[in-house]
Amino acid sequence: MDRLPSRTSHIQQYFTEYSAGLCLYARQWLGNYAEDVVQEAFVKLISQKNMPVNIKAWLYRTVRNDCISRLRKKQVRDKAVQKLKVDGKLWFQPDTDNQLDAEIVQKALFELDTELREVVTLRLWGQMGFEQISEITGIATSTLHNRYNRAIKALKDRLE
Amino acid sequence: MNINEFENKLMNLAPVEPGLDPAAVAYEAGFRQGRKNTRIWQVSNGCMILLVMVLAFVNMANNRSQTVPEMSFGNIKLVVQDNADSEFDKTNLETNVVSGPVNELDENSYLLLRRQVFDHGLEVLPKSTGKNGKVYSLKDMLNS
Repeated sequence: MDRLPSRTSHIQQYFTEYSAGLCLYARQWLGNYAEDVVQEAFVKLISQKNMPVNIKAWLYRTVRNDCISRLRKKQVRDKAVQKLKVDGKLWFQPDTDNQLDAEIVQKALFELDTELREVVTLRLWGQMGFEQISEITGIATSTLHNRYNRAIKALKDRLE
Repeated sequence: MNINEFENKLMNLAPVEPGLDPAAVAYEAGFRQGRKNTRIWQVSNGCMILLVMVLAFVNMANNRSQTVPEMSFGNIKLVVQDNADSEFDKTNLETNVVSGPVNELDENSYLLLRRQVFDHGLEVLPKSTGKNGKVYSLKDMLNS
């Protein structure tokens, strides 16, 4: 119990740094359930006896595993797919300076295959290298590279 | 627009801030930790109580015959039979068997003793000596 207060101060920092990226990552799997999954991941992090060496990778891996296990339950999967389709929530903050429209990017992302979307999300908004993504997903770096290039090309085609 | 520019523009889109509260997360973690500790205490307490009860029960069962002293009233012995498989001591019972007319009763027989108690009261009962040397009187025991 006494380790909780000291941990929570660090957690605050991780929270500020990673929660938005984690939520986006979870949102592209589960829609509105994303925040529950991310909260659960942080609760698990605080409860860990030994803090993981790479906190960021650990958080993303925990979120990924939780999303996949939730998606295995058919009811949740159906609801998540339905919510992703009709979800009015924006995934990105509207930015007037940016030439890309947040809503259109979201739509284009949603239309990508899950495996392509995952790599793009981790690479661009999780700000990870392919090595780190490979560590999280367990997919070979070359495959990830290939998927990323395909995803970027597909997004570019749709957005231009 | 080349690929790198396009990537940069995508990266400049900031994900929406989640509506999560770090304090709520910390509270939830603390709550779960507390609940876990409480459960551990509850389970260990339950086990301890169960263990104490079992030990007390076993102890009681083992000591039951030892706590009752062996008593004898003349030829009549009070025998506590604990084990079902042990030989039943028939010699103790023989004193209670009426084998002849009442007027020919042995002076230590149960029937004679009973008649004497009916006629003269509990004072006629012989004193009994326990294993520990203590003298037991049925009258005292009944009066106490």
